[in-house]
Amino acid sequence: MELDANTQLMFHWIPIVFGLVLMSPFGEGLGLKMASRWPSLETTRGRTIGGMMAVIFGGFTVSAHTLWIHNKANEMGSGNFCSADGVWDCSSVIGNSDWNTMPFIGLPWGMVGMLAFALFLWLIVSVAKEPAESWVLTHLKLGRNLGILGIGMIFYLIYAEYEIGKLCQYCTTAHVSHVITTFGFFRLSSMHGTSDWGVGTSIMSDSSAKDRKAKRGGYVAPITASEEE
Amino acid sequence: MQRRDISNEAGGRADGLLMVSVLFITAFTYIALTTSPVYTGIGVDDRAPVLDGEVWDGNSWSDFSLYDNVDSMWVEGEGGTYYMIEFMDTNCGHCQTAASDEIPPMQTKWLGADATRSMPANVSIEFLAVSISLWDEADSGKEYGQDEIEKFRATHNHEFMYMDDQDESNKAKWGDFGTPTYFLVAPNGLIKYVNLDAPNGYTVWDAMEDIIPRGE
Repeated sequence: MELDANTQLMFHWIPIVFGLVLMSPFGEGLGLKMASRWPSLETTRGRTIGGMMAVIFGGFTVSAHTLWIHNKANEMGSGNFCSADGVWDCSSVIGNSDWNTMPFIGLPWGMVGMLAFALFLWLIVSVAKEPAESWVLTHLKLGRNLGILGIGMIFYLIYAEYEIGKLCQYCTTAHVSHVITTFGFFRLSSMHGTSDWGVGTSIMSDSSAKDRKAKRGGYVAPITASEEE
Repeated sequence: MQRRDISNEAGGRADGLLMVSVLFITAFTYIALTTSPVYTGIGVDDRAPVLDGEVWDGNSWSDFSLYDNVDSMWVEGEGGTYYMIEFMDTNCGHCQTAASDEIPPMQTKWLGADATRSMPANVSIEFLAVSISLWDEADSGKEYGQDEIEKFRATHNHEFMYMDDQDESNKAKWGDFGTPTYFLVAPNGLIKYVNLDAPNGYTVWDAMEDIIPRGE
């Protein structure tokens, strides 16, 4: 049984909706339920970061799917790989050679989305792993600024859809994911440095574990034999 | 004894980069393996989409593939075969008019050993009519089938191949357009003319005159 394009699109929405719920105030209960497996979800920061990871992952997969559709459209000329249902017609948008690549650079928009969401994912995973590092705020600011730049591109793509006269459901899903991600970076930036940010997680009670967590991946001073004794 | 300075833990940024790289490469590999990176389209200078099917040459039906007859390494100035491809419908009035009025003098001019238009010895052109179905056999007065194609070709004394695409398997790959629609495909498979993009009044016959080199 072959799933139609709109049903396939639902698979991309699952992590996006899950992430959005986790980031929202309604996500607190969900986070607490999952805290036994992922303790960081007990905190607002942890839920925001976890939710953003899910949203970004959804954005990445839908962008990859968009690139796949773009390549298929080029390969086949046209076809039924992307559904067309009234105004929602992704093949007319992604298959439109006048609008389906980034101006000047010529990269397909799906590829641009994949690169952008991969960068966002790296920024947020790094922050999740080492929330107390000095470069965290730089990552958050970078994410925030790229988010604003991306929203500019989204407006351009909405204009393209207006010119074509069709809306692309895959592109819109990526746009929604991008906007939520940008909101997440703003939220984390404002949270950074406040008590909501904290360092480490609530289950790490002993100070050595906390130190080790904070230093994970950083330089760890060697312990000499005499120190051990 | 001094313990060696060993840290098995990568930095958070390196961990993240590794994870994201794996995700990106996996997705990209999947896309590369399941799609063709070669661009095809029906605009000028696009690589022509696939065109496969059974053709009638006046004697028998046989399999034909445009890309079996294309040399992707061909460059201008070399010898090769151009293809004038006409998407038509045997029931379409404009196609019938073109078949009876326009095409016979053009096939005299361009096809065969006695072609009046000179070309270099290693350059040739083939005409290919792709017969699609704009209507359904259930529609009154509309008849389809390979017999109709054979009859149509014979009626108009055409000497070139007719492809049966009445299931529109090729048309679906080429796009949504009416009939007759004309393409001129260079020996390397690139479209050099399509009447959909051409200035008003500039026909495929004009394009052939301009594009196909002359002989001595």
